[in-house]
Amino acid sequence: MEYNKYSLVFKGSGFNLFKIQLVNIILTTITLGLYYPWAKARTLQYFYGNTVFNEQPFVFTGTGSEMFKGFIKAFLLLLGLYGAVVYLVLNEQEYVGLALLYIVLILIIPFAIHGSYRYRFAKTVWSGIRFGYMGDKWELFGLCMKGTLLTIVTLGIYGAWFSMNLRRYLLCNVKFGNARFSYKGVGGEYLWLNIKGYFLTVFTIGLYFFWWQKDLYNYYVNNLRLTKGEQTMLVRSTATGGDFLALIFVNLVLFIFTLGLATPWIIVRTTRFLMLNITLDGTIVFDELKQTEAEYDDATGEDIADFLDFGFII
Amino acid sequence: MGTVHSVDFFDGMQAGAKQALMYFNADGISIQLGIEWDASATVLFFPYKQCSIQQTGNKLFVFLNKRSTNYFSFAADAPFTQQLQAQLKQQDRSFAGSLLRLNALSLLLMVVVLFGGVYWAVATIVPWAGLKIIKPSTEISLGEQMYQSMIRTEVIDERRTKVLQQFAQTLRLSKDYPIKVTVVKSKDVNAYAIPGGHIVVYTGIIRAMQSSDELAALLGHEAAHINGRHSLKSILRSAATGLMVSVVLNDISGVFSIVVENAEGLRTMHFSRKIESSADEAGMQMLVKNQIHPLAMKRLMQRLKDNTPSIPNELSFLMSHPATDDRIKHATEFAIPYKNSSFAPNPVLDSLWSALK
Repeated sequence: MEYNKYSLVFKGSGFNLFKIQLVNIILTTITLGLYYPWAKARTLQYFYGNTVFNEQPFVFTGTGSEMFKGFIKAFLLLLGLYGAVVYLVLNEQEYVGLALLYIVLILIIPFAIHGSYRYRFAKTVWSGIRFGYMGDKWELFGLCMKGTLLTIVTLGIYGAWFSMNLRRYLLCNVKFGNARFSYKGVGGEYLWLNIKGYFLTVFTIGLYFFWWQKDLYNYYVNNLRLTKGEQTMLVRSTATGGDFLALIFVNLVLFIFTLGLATPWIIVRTTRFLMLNITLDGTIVFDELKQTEAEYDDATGEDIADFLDFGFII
Repeated sequence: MGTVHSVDFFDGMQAGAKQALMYFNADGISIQLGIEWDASATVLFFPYKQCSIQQTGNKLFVFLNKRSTNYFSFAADAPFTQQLQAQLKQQDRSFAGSLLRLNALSLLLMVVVLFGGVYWAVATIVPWAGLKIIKPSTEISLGEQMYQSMIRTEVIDERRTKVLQQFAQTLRLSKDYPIKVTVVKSKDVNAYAIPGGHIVVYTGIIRAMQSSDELAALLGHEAAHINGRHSLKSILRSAATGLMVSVVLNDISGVFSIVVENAEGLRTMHFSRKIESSADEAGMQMLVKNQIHPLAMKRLMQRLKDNTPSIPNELSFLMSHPATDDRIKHATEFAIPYKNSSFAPNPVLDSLWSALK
């Protein structure tokens, strides 16, 4: 079996992203926010299109109009929810209102994540091959309910397991043509990384923070792999704590001295850094990947996730 | 048939590139797999409407169909690049497309102008609409509630309250609001107005004043706050700008937020200075209407200044209340036209004043 090594390259420029963001801001403002889905599609297309793997760029095939339908559904759903909460609060039922808000949000989130993963991966294409997410929404729902309850009962300690179980479930269900991702991070190790990171950061007056970030990033990346039949590909991070220190320090300086105007350049250099430090090696021959996923258009989950303001988790 | 070019074709079935031949004309792009054109073999045709082009690094990628994932790529320096790009670019006539072709500086300028416009519009419309929607009667009942909760912890001087109420009625301070004064026992040199008609005066300020017309000036100033709905205006203003600041800060955080918040604070302070001097002016007009010399306002301010710890003038913009010196100057200027007018003493006010003292 042949042994291959691949790497990711990000070729976007801060200047182009800056222009895209300015156009997005202008159009979103004059349409009172309605342009948002198109703005998001344009940004995603830019990021995907400039991420190159094995000489081929990724493609985001989602469109503003698809996401707009989801945007309206998500908007109405959340408007209804907030309307009910405001009604209850005005009628002196604050606690019922707040309970309703939190319970409904906790119930919605798994479906939002599910929808978001389905849509985003169905629209992610590399070399003509679609990605796909095949998780089951009820399984994810069960996992989230159990995780939320245990996290509350254990005063947050179970959060480490919840977080890793969620990541494992989501990533193990991501397909890339006829290859499949898997993730083997576990809660115990993750908790230990965070405890170690926290205390060493305190003892070193903050300096270890960068190594803590490196540990977490590496834990996410190094536990990821891709398999196709008997072939496997290991994903590795080569980032060091010193690299993270330099990255974050320069980002901070750029941000402060430009009063935030350098944000697009910061995003670009961060993305470039993250891509540059990921390598894949193993026996999968990517040219042999086959298309397995069909077209899929419903972006409601993606939009709910946006409204609730949690990023795409990967 | 035009010239045939060799490209890498990705068929959307399997990942690897396939050698293919491509030619394009006014209608669209035709593709045939293989290295030599075979007139009898299958040709795939794609109209431009379905296609889009993208450059990444030194390669160009032409996506052939929005519903499927096939595309072809070729080197950016190929001889036919410009011609094909021109054919495809014609398709992008959208407004966003034309904006993207502008330079960054013009776009930045547009954003600044747009944000300025939105800021101005919201800061104008919200207070205007709020003042229309909230009727004086609502303000009076809300003010009553505020008064009840504020006065709960104070000791009321019942006798002086009665006298001062008579004093205020003589002055006819407001057409729209029932002015109700309350005298509170306190050493503080202070007085304030609550929206809807209540004026609270501390015994400390009465003790500091020397004549009935100073008291009239004080009531005139506080009543002007009530008549001008100043509290409501500043609440609506901060609500409007607070709304916008929070919208902006949702996206941009950190250093930028500190800048915005401080700028906002300074603006609020400027607004409160404007409100104070407009209340001074309305108060002096009320004095003139009541046949009292407007210089009483100046004397009142002098009195207040003597009774407050001194703050250097350079720091006056940092105070929530405007610089007294500036207000004194303004009051003096206002009184100039009345320099030679004579104002008869008002026996009713004077006798009430003696009763208060």
